Amino acid sequence: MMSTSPILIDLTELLGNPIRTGIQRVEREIIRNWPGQLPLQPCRFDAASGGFVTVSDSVFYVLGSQTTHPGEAERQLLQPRLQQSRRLSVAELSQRLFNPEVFYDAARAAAYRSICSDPSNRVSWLLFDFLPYLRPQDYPPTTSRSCMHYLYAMTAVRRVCSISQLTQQQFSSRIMRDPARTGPFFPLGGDGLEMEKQQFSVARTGFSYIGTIEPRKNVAIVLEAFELLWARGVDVPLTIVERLDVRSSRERAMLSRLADEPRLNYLGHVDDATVRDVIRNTRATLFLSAAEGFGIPPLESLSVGVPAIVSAGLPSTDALPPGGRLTIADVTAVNVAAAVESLVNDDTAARLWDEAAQLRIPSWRDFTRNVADWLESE
Amino acid sequence: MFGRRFFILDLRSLQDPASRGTAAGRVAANLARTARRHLTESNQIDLLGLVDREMPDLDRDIREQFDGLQGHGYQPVPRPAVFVQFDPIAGDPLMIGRILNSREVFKATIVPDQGRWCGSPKLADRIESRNRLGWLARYDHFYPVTSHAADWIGRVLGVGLDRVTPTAIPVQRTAPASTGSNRDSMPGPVLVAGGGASRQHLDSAVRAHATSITGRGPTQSLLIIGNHPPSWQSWLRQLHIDSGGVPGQLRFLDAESGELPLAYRDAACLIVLSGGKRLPTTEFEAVAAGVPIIDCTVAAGDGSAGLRGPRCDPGDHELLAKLIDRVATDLEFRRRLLRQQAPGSEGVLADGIARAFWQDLKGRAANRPQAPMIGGKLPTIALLSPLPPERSPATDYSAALIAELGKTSDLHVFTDTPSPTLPSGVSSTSPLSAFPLLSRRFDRVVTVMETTLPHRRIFELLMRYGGACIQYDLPSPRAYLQWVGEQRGRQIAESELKRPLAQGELERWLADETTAEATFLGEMASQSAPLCVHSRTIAKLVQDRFNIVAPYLPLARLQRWDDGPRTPAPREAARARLGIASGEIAVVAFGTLAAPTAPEDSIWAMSMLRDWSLPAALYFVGEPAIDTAGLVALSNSLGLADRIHFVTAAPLGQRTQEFLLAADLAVQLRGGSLGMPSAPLLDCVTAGLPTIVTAATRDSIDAPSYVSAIRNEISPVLIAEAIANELAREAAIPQREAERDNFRARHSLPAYVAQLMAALSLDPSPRCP
Repeated sequence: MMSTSPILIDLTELLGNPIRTGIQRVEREIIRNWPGQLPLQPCRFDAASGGFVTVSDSVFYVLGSQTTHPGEAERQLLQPRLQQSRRLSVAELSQRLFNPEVFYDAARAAAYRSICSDPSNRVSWLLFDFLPYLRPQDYPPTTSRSCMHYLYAMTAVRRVCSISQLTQQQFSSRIMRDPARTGPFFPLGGDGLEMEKQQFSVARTGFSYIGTIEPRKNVAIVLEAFELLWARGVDVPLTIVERLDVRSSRERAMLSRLADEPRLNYLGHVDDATVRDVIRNTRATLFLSAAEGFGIPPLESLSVGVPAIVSAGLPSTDALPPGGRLTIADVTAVNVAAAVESLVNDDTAARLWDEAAQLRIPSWRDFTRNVADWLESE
Repeated sequence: MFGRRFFILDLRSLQDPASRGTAAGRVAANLARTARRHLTESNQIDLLGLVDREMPDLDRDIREQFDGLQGHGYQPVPRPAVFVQFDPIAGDPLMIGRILNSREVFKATIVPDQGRWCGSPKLADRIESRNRLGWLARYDHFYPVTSHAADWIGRVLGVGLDRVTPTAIPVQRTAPASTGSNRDSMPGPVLVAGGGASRQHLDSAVRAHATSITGRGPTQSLLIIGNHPPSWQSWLRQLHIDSGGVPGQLRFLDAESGELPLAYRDAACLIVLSGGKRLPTTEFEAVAAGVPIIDCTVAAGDGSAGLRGPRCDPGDHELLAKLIDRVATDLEFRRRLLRQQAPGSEGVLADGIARAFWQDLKGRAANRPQAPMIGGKLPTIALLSPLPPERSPATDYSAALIAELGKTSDLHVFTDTPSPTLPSGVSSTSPLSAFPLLSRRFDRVVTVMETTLPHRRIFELLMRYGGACIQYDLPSPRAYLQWVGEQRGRQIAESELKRPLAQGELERWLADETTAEATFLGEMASQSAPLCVHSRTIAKLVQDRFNIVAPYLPLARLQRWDDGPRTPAPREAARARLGIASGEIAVVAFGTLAAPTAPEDSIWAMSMLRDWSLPAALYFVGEPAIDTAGLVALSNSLGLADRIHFVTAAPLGQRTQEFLLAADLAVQLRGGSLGMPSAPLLDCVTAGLPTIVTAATRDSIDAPSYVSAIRNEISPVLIAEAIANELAREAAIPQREAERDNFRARHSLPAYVAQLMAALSLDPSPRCP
């Protein structure tokens, strides 16, 4: 007989420090799109008591809202809702606790290991990626070490699902080194832009990159590619959106050098409406990251019908049927320039737009439905 | 025949901005700017500039004349060379002591002004002056800029005339008079130089001008050059008027005034009133400008003799008045005077002086017999190094090196270690000083550098005097910044990386030195001849970043115990002695336990290995440089108390030997991308023990196949993966003896010394002394 008790969703980090991260975005989409028969009960780890406590489900109105901006304002809205709480028993947690977060807290990890020591536990985790552990070069020094408590707790969790097949495979083969330790994977949604489907027009001449500027995202190569094109007289505009990471010294220098370049438009971090405006003027987006846990931006681009130029090995686009995108196996400035130049041709671009329009892109509702079904399954 | 030669010019006097306007500065600048042009007329040369890195940079036009600039006087390989000193009073003579003491180098110096040698009556200054005279005596040839300086050098140093060649202070040719100039038609101003302490001589010139026909005219003025007291000026003006001169026609002009060149252009003549010790710059400039000179000096002989025209007793103002009139009005007389002065005028122009100087120098250097080289005896080497009982990896290494190096050289050690333990092989041991770097007794001087604070003095000597350098490992950024100061350290890092440091970047390096991108080796590389390093990675970085070849010397393994094959029986016996359970996978981390060796990551890796059902235990064998309480707490919190061991008690040497035999695998990690090998790593490799290192460390040595690498950015998961993979590989490749033997041979002390001798350009083959 299946339990009808709510699923306890561990939102410790989101409740304590609501900011704009990829992981918190997934949490918010789960809250917004939750379709399960069983209700969600928010909870958090209470460091003072060393256990988990419930939180008023009114926090969902804040976290699921489209109008509240992450940050201090949201934190103030959440704070009074965290007061009324009830300590959760190990028995409750053991059967219904679901963690969709990544954390670094040793005490929280110890609590998970303690709960999971019950062989019949049904504690469930959503796994994102293992980049800090397997590609430490992409992170500040000692990041992997400081994240080890999370991994330490994870190895005790029997029920896991992943956001991509790559994450699922790495969990089995490199983190657990045990093919029996596995779980399903559920692709994230591509409909987060919440905008109308785009139509091709020859007036769309610009290309855009939307995403944080970190060294592994290869934005420097994108810039180099466009400089090659501009030097050859291909006057194609490029718009870049999002924050510049502190470690991206090469990209910082290039953007500084190109500050007066009229064909380059670097916007930094902007609101969602501006992102939508950029997409409305884009012929194709670029996303050429060397490594991703998933890679949402090209999926969102394709979701509204805008083709994408992507690197091979992106979990998000590798899972899609062919079409609507140009995939570059060897990400070099020359190859990227060639891909962009091919799309300057209106006929080629129009063909790719047609293909993109045919793709069925997974939605957040699909993702959340999959997660809910899995959590509610025996 | 004068073949390809090596010229070293001491440019330190040109680094002092205050010297630019001085006579000595003009001499130096003229010769420095023209050296390449004149020296390469018929020969190929290497032109090296010697600078003081503590002083301001040279002007770019001078800097660009040189093949290279060097901040010390050490030459790695003595070879026939010519050294030119522009100003023996400027700069520390000790810095070039090794050059001045060298038999192979032909040394020449300008002697600008003897007055600067003995001006101060202070005892300290007199001692300093005597000291400098001692260094001055070491020059082979002297180029005084005045005949007084020539007399002085002969008198004070006993230098014969065959070692003295006069030169001169260069002047620039004054622009010719513009169209419409009245020099040939109307009497221009009469210039008066000198006077100095003699008012009477000045009054003679004033009276002469006031009584001359042209001087009484409305247009001819009298310009007295020099800084004269206001009371003199008033008196002389009054005297000029009282003697019949036109009021307002007498003016005084500062010698540094910008008006002076214009005055030369139109001047009727220059009256020179006194010679003596001062430099005859004014006369040279007048000659170069085509102005006739009337010589009223008491005695000629200040180096400008031959430049001047008619002589006149300084007290005979009537004769002087006639000469003024004649030179101002008799065009033919004036032209004759100028023709007489013409040869001298060429000699005082910059180009003429430079050509004569360099031609003379080339000839003298070419005709000098070559000094004998080292041959026939063991090379004499001075080694500047800390020694045991001071404790550091470098001191242990130096002691072992000395014992081996002493077999092929006459080795003298200079150390700041109190009561040093003397290794065998040393001819003498002395307190650390600059002496070996200045003495010609030593064929080579080698400093051993380990950038920890106790060795600062060695660093300072290297930076001041140069020398060969063995860089035991990379400088610690923190220690280096304490040595040179944060501002200079930042500049050095930015210069090396060719980019500005980001805000907080240097602070991040100091907080975690493994994250430092800069080696901080730039200054040491440029001061060392050569800079020997123990890492291929560092050698390549030095080449790439500083364009300097740094010989790679494979770090030798110190033979502390028998490193025979790891055969099963002794191995099992060692495991039993150490209490290692049968079936346990013994992973060992040898060496000082410190944060850069990533002990926390290794403990986390053991947690992963346990989750992977591998019965691994980790042994830290070495002295802890950090508090191990945190590591113990982490081990306990992960339930690894029985799998993490700290072996820190003596006798560590014996225990290390046992663990090298008993271990299944070693983890020798050191964070950062600037790879350096370590003595414990060499122990592991020569013991044939499979070892996990970072990629930078692997690339720094000729690593055999049983050394596996993870990324430089350390991650516990990657460590655990590497251990698991290596253990699987270990079963497949049981025999590594051939690789091990090869590595041992390449990393032995005899091999190290042979390569060091080669780097020092010394013959390493033993000979009878």
